[in-house]
Amino acid sequence: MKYITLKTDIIKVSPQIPDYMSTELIYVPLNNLKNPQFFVKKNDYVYKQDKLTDSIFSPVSGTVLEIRKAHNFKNQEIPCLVIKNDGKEQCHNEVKYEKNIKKYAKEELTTLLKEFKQETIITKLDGNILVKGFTDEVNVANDIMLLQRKTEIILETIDALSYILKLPFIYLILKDNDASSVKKVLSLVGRYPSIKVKLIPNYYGLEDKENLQNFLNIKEEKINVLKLCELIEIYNILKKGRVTTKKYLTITGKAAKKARVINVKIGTPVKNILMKYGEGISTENLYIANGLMQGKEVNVDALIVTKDLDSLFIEPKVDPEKTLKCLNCGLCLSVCPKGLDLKYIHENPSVVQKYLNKCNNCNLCSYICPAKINLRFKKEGK
Amino acid sequence: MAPYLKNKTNLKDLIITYYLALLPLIGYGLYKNTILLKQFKILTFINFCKPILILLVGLLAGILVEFIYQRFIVKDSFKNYNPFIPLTCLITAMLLPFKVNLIILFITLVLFLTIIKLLKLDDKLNIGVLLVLILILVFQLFKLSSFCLPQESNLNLTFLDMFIGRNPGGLFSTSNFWLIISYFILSRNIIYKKEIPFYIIITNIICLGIYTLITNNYDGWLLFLSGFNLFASIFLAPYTYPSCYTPKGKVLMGILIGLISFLLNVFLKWYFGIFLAIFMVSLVAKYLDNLGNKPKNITEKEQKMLK
Repeated sequence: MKYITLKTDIIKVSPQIPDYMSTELIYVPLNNLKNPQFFVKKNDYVYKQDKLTDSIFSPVSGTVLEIRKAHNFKNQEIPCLVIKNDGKEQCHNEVKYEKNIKKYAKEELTTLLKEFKQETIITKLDGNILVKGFTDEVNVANDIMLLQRKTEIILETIDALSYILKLPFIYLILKDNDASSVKKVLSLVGRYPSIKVKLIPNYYGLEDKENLQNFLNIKEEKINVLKLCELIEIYNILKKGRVTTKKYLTITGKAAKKARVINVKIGTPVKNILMKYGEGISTENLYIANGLMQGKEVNVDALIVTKDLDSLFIEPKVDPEKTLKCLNCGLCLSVCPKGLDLKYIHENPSVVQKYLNKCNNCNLCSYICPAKINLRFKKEGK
Repeated sequence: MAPYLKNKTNLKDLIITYYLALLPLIGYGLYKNTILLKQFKILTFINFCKPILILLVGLLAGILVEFIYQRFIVKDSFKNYNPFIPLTCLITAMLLPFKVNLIILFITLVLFLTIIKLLKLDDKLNIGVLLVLILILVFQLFKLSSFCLPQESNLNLTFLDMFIGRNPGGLFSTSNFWLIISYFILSRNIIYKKEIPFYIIITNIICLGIYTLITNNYDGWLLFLSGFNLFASIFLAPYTYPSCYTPKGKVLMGILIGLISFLLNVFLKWYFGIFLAIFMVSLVAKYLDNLGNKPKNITEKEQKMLK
């Protein structure tokens, strides 16, 4: 596989991170639960961190209204429980601060994570751990900002994890083009001997666990990759006994008035954020969630902030480039991290499904194609 | 539909890179076939203009055929315009000798290109080598096979002379030095299949080395240094449509062309062996790709099912 760096204009993000917490209505996604058992009913007053269902916590305090439909980052319609936010952020219990998060045993950590329904994180704690401090998508600055703003929290949590899980060390992987984060991390990492920082070039596709493992030449079978936001979640649960109710959202793109990272409440309607920061909503623009390489065009009027929404790109609508006949250049094959021969696959439609199950949707094939053929479009059989 | 980000490299870039890579060769060819020819005192006005006229005739034939085809046959306002046609004609013209008849050249190119276009073979066959082979046949018919000017035939050439390109041969294809520079220019473009010329040349060198060690015969090296092999390997063999695209396929293709051209050059003493070798191997490129193409992560059982 040929590793490549995406070539595009770098949009500078504002260094300030404004908080946007005061939205009137919060849409709590019900995560496609089939028959959710609600612990609240209409017009109930809920406190922040109260359980709404068995696995969903309220991100704000306020009055429960009703169930409405909204859109997630995949542009899918999802049911959401709407809460009228009173802006007071009232909690039932005082926040407890655990001084030393290293004091937990592995079983206690797992129990706590189970209690807060963090099954995905639990599965990642079995085996060796790599912490991914970068994002593949260009101009998405969430991880850069997290590394710069919450360096000590991140390092403390990694150190605690290595202690709790009895791992000799944990790798923190950073991209070498992110100079400010690297500098900040390197200035503090000396205090934590269990953390090894590994710098990698700015290649696209290394977010994928298998690719990263191949690139770093790690042959161990049980390797798990933790994201920075998952570390923050672990930290909040261990330190404060709470789940995260906020997240960073990058708003950027060629048609965005100002590229910035905003700290927002999970469940906030994205249109409110756009209005608040003067972006507006225009039919002249495309709104793309989660990056230009793997993201999807979304209906921004119905979009809400979910845990998985990292970025919103505002791009001007342009005519697509003219598609030529396949040039037989083989670039799609040479860049595919999974070694899939897309030309062969498309010439043999009967095997499409079989091969494409192995595709990780990185879209490098479509990015690199000099004939401008959208192979993703073809993959989906259109 | 994602990706909304596209690499800026496209076919236009490749074509521009090809023209850029041809520039040093054209420059040296013009110098060699005009200023250097002064020593033979044959520098009439017509002779002075002839190298450039040959290039123009080649280019014009390509543009004309493509224009007529798109304008009057396809009638789709140049949507499927094939920029390789004029480029290939120019490359073909660069291989021709000084004595070539311009009218015969123009008619042959237009006639055969039109047939190729009408049969829609331009993206199935290696049109560059096909045109060269056709031109060789035509010039044999018109008894224009000698590439040497009478004045050039008694030159005593050293290795350095041949490396620089002072030897007789194609008008713009003799300079190995500039050909290597052109190869590096082309290799900068990611679409260019640089592995194919590399493996052709390596195979040629290895075969010639072994042959020389066994027979103590150096004739093959003269042919190799004449520039034809290097020129055809760099500019014609990697023609994108009928060449291999898988990594192993490209290596196999290079080795096969190198081997066949060595056999034709050394054992049949055929000066143009490389063109036939490229043409033959490009016909089986698809099979070579399939030989070298075993997608990862597919089990043997699945491979059998796919067959």
